[in-house]
Amino acid sequence: MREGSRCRWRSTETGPCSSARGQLSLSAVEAGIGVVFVLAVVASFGVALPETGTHEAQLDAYADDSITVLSSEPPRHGGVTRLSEVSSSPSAFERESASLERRVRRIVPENVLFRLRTPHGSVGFRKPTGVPVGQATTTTVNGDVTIWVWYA
Amino acid sequence: MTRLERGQANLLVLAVALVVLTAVTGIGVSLADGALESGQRDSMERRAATSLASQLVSADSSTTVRDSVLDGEAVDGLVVSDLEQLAPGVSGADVRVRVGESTVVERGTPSGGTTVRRVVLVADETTETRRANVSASDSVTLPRRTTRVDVSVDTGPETTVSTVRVNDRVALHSEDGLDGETTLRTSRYETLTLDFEVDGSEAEATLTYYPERTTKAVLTVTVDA
Repeated sequence: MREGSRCRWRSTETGPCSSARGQLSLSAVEAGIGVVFVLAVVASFGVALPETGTHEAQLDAYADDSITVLSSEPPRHGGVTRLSEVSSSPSAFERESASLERRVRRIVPENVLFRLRTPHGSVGFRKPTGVPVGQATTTTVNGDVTIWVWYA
Repeated sequence: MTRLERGQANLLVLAVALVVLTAVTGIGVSLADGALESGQRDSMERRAATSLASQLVSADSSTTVRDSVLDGEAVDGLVVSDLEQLAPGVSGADVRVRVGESTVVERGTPSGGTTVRRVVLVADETTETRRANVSASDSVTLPRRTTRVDVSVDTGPETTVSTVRVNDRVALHSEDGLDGETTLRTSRYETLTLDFEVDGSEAEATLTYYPERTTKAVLTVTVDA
């Protein structure tokens, strides 16, 4: 009989008992694996889904509102609306682009940058890549005017 | 041969393992349920906030003068029941509507929740009056654009004003002479020049016009279910 062993040794074909052989209790292993599986499934519920849609939707709303406000403003000199005045000719665009940029900058919220494209030129900042960007377009009598907005 | 020698499972360990596994599964199911419910509540809040914000800025709402331009007085008079009529989805939730920095209407204390912002102009109507003695060669140009003009003509006994033109279009005409006050609807996009056809020399016109003063603001709608 081996010393320190808790099980009795009998002279049979089977070897020593499992604790003497240094093996794990199989039930504990199976329970452990089962718990790990269940926790893995639960973790997949706990991981929050990415909400990329909300930034885009908010920026689209900003762009829509800005272009709506701009398109119903009276012109500074002649023309039907301010946007149609700016889009009427290259010289009109040159003349009006500074004040148009100031006006758009005042309308758009402070933490948002913009780019406004008219048929004869653009005002604003460069559009970045890889960030959520909201867009809105309106049509004037002289062409399309598009605004892009993104968070600064 | 003992059980251990035969390599069979220990009943106690098996029972403990089953209990542990059942407990973990129960906890997992309740966590999943909570996550699903909060996800649903988030999307419901977002729908309610978005629809309330769109209704508040839409052109045919009682709170706006035109699309994305809020009427300052109508917005100040908003109450919670108006919000529920505009967007039924906010019933039962804490809601707050702010224009710029000031809170317009609030129910409960929405902390967190979903916030939707819209860019708006807030329009306040002001009144200005101009009086002028008019003769056939005079035209009166209004310095501000307006959507309506109240024209009131006072004439002496020998004088008649037969026609009033706005930007060369005939707006008022009477063979016997105009009298009293009339309201003309004009376009917001044009600067107005009024011409009078006057027969005589004592005619005074009082023009009351209503220029709009707009300030830019951000409309913030917060819904917390």
